[in-house]
Parts: sequence; C-alpha cells; structure tokens
Amino acid sequence: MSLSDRATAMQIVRPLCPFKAAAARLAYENKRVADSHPTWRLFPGSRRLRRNLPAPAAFILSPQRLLTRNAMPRKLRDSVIIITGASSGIGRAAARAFAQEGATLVLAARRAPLLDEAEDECARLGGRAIAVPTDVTQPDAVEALARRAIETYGRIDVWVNNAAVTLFGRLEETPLEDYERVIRTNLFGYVYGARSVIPYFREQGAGVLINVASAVAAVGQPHTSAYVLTKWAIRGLSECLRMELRDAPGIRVCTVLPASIDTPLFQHAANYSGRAVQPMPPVYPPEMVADVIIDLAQHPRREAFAGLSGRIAALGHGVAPALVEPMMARQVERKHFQPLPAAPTRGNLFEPMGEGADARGGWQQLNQRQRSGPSTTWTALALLSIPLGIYAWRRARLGSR
Amino acid sequence: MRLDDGLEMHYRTSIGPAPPNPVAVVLVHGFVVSSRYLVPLGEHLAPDFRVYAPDLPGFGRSDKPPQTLSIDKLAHALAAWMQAIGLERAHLIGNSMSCNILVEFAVHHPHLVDRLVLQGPTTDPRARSTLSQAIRWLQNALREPPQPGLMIKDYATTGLRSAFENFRYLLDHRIEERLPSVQAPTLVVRGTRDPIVPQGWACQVTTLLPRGRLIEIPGAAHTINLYAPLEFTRVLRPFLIETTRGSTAA
Repeated sequence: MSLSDRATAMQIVRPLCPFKAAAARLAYENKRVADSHPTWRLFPGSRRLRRNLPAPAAFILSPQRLLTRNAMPRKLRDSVIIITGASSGIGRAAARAFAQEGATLVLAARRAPLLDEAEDECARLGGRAIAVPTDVTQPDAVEALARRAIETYGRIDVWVNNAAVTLFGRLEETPLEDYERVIRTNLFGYVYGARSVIPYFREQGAGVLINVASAVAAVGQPHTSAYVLTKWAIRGLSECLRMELRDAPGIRVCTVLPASIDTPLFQHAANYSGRAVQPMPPVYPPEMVADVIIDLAQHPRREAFAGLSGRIAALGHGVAPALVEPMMARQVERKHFQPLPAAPTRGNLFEPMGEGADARGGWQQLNQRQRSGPSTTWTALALLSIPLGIYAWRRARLGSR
Repeated sequence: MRLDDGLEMHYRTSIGPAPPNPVAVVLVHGFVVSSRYLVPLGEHLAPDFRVYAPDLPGFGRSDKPPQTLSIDKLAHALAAWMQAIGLERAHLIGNSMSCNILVEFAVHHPHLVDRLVLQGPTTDPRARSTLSQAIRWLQNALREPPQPGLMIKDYATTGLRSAFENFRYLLDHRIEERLPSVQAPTLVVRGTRDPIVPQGWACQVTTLLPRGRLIEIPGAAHTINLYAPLEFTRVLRPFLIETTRGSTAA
C-alpha cells in the first residue's frame, strides 16, 4: 500500500473514529459487546488530538513534541545514514567517519565485495552497517535501497547522494553514450535518491538529504563538461527541493561543494583527452569532506564548501566571472593533466573497476613530490585579489557618482 | 484455568476501511499498563490489518479477577477472549511483559497463532532480581519522554498490590525455558537504547526460538509501540505481510 493510500485510509477513518473500545463478555461460549468507550480521544499520544488543539494545550499534553519540532536532528548514534558510492572515495571516508560516531549505516555501491569490506570496517569502528549493492542508474534499485533501509531499521535520518563518475575530453570528441552515462549516474542517480527518500522523510516529518556536488558547481572547467554540468544541476536540484520542502520544516537539503579531493575518481575516469589525468592541486584528503558531511548531518545548512581553493574560486567567479573563466581554463590545461599520454578509456562508466578500492586515490603524495615554488593556496589567494580589487574599485567608483 | 463467569474484558479494535479479507493483529499490553498505550501502533497498522488491543483481566478497563492472574493464566484468558470474539487465528504482538504471556500463549494454543512479534521480551536472566530490574526500568524512564497522564491512570487502575504480584510472577517466569517450544515464526524487536533488554539477551531469545529473527531499531528504547510506532510498523509490515502471502499460497 502506498503512502498516499495510507493517508486517505486514515482520513476516511477520521470522522468514524478509528478505535472503538468495546467489551466482550468473557464467557467461553457466550459473546456480547457490552458498551463502547471512545477513550482513544483522551489519549495524549494521539497525533490527531495534538493537531487539533491550541498550542498551549498541546504543550501540556505532550511537551516533547513541541520541543523537538525545530530542535537539532537526532544524535548520530541513534541515526540511520544511507551513503551511495560508499565503496571508495568520499563515500568510503564518510562511512568510516559516521561509523566512528556509532551511527547505523546502509552502504550502497556497485562493487559488492568492496561493500562487504566496508561493512566489516564500519562494525570494527563502532557502528553497524549493511551493504546493499546498488547501481544508482537504476531507479528501481535505488527505491529498493530505501525500502531495504526502512524494513531493516525502521527509519532513514540522513541520505547522502554521493555516487559519481567523470569523463575527460572535449564535448565534441567524447562519445555521446559516455556523456549520457555520466549525466545518468551523477544527476539521475541523485534524482532517484531524492525521489525514493523524500516520501519517507515526509512520513517521519524529518530527515536530512545531503547532495555531494563539487566546487565546479560554482565555476566551469574545460575538458570535463559532462561532470561539471551534472554538478551545476545538482546544486540547482538541491535549491528547488529546499523550496518544495518548505512545508516540511523538519526536512533539510544540503549541498556539499568539495574542491579537488584525493580519491580514486581520477583512476576511474573515462578519458578521451589523450593525456593522463590527475586532480588539480591543491588536493585535499577525503576525510576532510567526510567531516563536512558529518557536520551537515547534525547542523544542516544550505551549502558547505570543503577545501579553501574551491571557496576562493567560487568567490572569484561570483565577483568577476569574465576574469576567472580564462584563469580557470589555463589552470586546468596546466594542472589537471599529467605529462603522459593516455589511451582512450571508458573508465568505470559502464562496468565498475577493480582498482581504486579505498577512500584515497594516492594523489596527495604524488603532488607533494611534484610541488615546487609557492603553495598553491597562496597562488590562488593572490589570484583572487585581482577580481576582488576590481570589484572594490568599481564599487568605489559607483559610490562616488 | 477457569475465570469466574461474568468477568468482562475490554478491547479496542480498528474500524473503517481495512483491505479485503483483513488479517487480524492482536496487540497485547505489557506490565501494569493497558491497551491505551498501544493506540499509536494500532493507528499505524489499521490501514493494512484488522487490529485488536484487549485489556487483560486486572488491567485497564477490564474487570479485576479476585486474585491477580499469573503469566499462564493471563495467556489462557487471552485465548478465551479470542474465542469469545470469534477470532480463529491472528498475528500477536507483545511489548515487554506481554512477551512472556505471548510465549506461554504460543506454547499452549499454537493453533491460534499465525506469527508472533516479541518487542522487548523480559526478563533478562542476568538481571532477574528486583533491584537490578528497578535500576533498568529507571534507566529506561530517563530515555523515554514521560507520559504522566497515561501512566498514572493505568497504574491507579491496576493497584499497587496487584502490580507487585504481577512483578513477582514476571520475575518467576523463566521465558528461556519456554522459547524452544514456540513453533510460530517469531520476530524479536529491540530498541538499541533499551536498557531492560540488552543486545545479548535479545540475541539469546532469537537463538532459542526455533524460527526467530531479530530486528534492532536505532535510537529506540523499551516502549517502541508508544514512542516509535512508525518505525515499528515499518519493520513489522513486511514480516506480517510475508505470512499473509505464504498462507494464501498454501
């Protein structure tokens, strides 16, 4: 029975009173209904009663409801958290971090053996977890994932949409099939997740949906348009959902905007650029994003950056987009690729890959070896000062008019 | 066992549109309380099942027997009530002390039981003393928001003396010796924050049952039917509907 059916059933019942107290005469052969008591009306736990009472009366009858309505979400050790893309990268790091807080996890990804490994890891770290092998491009599979969590633990407190793939190459040089696959995984995977979980959130009156987007949801990038456009779309999706859910104040939707993160995403990437790829420095550890996700689960906010460079880039783009665009383009050409040729590959778009089985992708060490000259963060800060200066100058000129 | 004739037992039942050929679900209340605290769970189950929640003799609105009934006498009273209202077979759901009653019930009257749900079965043999039970109940009271209106009324109706006698019966009942004789498929449900039913004991109950299964609800304490009825219903529904399908196939 669907949720809406249940709702109508309850409504039809309402005027009739769903509970009739009656008495059966306790004689072995003789049965008789003696009288009826609609005592359920006086029951303080009845939601209907509370809804129909003025606030002060409702407070006296069940203060805990009023107190918890806008209070902080549940404690992590009492929460059920679903993470997609939990076999490696940010998802895996987030699973570990939640497990350390004693949370209950439902881990989803395509690679079942890795997921089992992650499940054991979570149990060792003090949480509890079940692994549900899921391909987020299949709407039925995502729905089954939500149902599995509900039937196993009774609730979902946090849903982390995180599974993502990427594709390198110019728009006209990448196969359309691969391009569509990236959109299907990164964007429709999130749409399926949100569609599956929001009805349960509404039933509970609470829940946190965390969409992991990217700092490139605020600034474009050449050679990764499929990835970037899904991330812009995810940011838009979160914003629309926040507006749609204004009638359910207990449900929160957050977007995470991580900068370059040291994950196996770049080993898994489909690549038609002819050059080997790497994350663009500065590269941050996935554990840092996991901390941001945990923080959002407890204190939901609209958007949260993870990594200073992403915040700076987004700020610069907001102030002087025409100036930041060519800067970003040059930066990608120089820093997003390794000086090595690479054969065309579909990466993990259609079939999961064996390699890249941990939270980290091993890029941070590589970058440290390569790095020379001033730190990239300082470079970024210096670059940011140009658009900010222009902005300040313009404001000053406008003000003097 | 024979109850004095003329003793009346009250029950609450769901009315209104249930699905065609509804499956009966009987909710049985626990220690000293009455069917009133089962109403939230009943409301959630009502769209899918025909729900009954009786007050056992000596509790709630039902008549008081001259002597407080022991666990197995309460089980027999429940069977008699089912016959009196013409229920041939039902799923039975119990919380706390009523799990002991339901286990006796399932052993003595297996033909009346479809499936069994034991939520927070008492009493953990490692804490089978008045003191340790009192400590655990107090601990639980701190973890669940109080419902003074509900509790005072039910405690007053039951009376101190029979509450104490009930408690003695409960402590004397060795549920672990009866569990292996339960034939019905059984779901054991436990809240992860339940101090009265620790995880070890819940696992033991599940292993002792020939057809047992354990589900733990994160964050819930001992009285899940009252404080987390939505979560309880969500884990119950697949278990109860599974049987319904099974019996139609058979």
